[in-house]
Amino acid sequence: MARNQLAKLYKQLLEESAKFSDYNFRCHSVRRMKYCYEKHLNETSDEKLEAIVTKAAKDLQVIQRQVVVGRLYAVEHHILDRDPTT
Amino acid sequence: MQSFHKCTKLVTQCVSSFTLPVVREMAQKSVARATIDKGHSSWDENIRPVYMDAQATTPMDPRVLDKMLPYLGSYYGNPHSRTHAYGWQAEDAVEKARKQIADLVHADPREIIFTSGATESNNLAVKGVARFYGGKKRHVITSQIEHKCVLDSCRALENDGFDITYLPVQKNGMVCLDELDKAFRPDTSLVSIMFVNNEIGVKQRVSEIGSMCRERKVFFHTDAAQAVGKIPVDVNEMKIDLMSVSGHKIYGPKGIGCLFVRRKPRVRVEPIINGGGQERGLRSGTLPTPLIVGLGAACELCGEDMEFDSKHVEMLSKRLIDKITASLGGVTRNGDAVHTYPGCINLSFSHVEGESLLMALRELALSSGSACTSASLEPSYVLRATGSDDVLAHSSIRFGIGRFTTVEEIDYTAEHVIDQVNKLRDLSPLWEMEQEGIDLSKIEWTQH
Repeated sequence: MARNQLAKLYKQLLEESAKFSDYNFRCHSVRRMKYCYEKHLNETSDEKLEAIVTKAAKDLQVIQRQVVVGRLYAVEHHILDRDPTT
Repeated sequence: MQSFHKCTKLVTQCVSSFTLPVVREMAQKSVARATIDKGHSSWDENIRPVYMDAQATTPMDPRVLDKMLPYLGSYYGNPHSRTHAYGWQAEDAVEKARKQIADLVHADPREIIFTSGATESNNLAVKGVARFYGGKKRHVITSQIEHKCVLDSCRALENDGFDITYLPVQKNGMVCLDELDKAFRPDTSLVSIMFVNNEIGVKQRVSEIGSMCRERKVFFHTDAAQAVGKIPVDVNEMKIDLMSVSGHKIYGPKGIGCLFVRRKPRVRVEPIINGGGQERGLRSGTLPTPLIVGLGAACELCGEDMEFDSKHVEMLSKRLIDKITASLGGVTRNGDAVHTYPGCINLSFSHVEGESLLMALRELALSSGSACTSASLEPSYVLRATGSDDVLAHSSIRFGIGRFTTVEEIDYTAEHVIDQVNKLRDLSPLWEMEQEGIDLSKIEWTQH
């Protein structure tokens, strides 16, 4: 159950991370999500999985808020940012 | 603007009167730089360059900002107000942050004193300890490659009649422990040696220095602004008595830092700022709750992500060095290659003037050394202390890699640096002469 929840959250976390308007924050968040997910892939303890899900859900809220904050003020585009989301 | 042009003309005339070709070449490039600076060249202001200056400052992590925002809005209480909920909320947040910082460095929360940043922490540690024990102990030891704020605090102590030993460093930037051993005196109160150098990234043998100081009952202070949060730090294992930390070097806010002051064995410090007696009387002034919350969150994240961040920074560091050295000759790495923080790479490109290279690389946010001295065209005192000659010191560039640096940015940086170094060398008669096998050190320059 927790495993399915985690997979669903992971997908949402990746989607939300990709919305950061700042190039560096976007790349970092996507990379970190992948790292964290792969790190927990072999976790079998239900208790630990539930704790991971709780943390991932909180992380998702943080990213959602910060994506909005990041869009409040328009800034210059990063020189390597070929796909600015704003 | 007119007076600027007059000034430029005057300086250009002066420059052309230099007789030594090397000096003339350098001066011409410096004037060119000043001209470009004022004219803002043709840089597209809608584009942000690649940030490669992580030792000057780091971007604030969005996760840190997320923790701070409520305290910039609704929770505005004064943490020292004891009579209402606004004050209690702010106090709880401050104490939580104090614990987050203490946990990262294995200290007790009561040993953390909030300051405005590492500069204030260094001032408080160096002047505070020396002055408190100044009745009997009048000697302080430091190194020649410390941050300006430590060196200037020592100068202030010298004016007050204290004796200061400025330890020289070896060619690799490391403090020689034998030299330190010889420098101790019966009246030495403090040794202040930085953990990781901000210009060349050299990591000192802090544990060994800590043990040497503890054996002699001398207090040991370390400026760990570039180390805490990036490499593991344990104040007990390393026998550190005082340690300076900065918020904005670890993806936290600017204007906040702290000083670790050991309780057992107790270190006494004379405060610099007096007033309401906050922070156990060591640093008066209302605590800035949002900034403290940010510093605490930044420390917690550094602890959680240390392995992830370290692997990333190490990989990028190796990639950048490998790419540059594979394509360019005459590249020297300043500072020890082993005892180093990989996120700080200082390279010298022979026959390329560092400032010219920086100006040619407008698409990269780089620096030739410390931000505090970047306005000066003087070669870095840190590189001079390592015995690097002036010409090589003038040709140095610092690459600062951090948590948010990407592989793409590293490749872009390497590509542009290689390209521009080659272009500048093509213009350099000295580089051409060296390629032809002429030993430049044996040339006798004549005046004409």
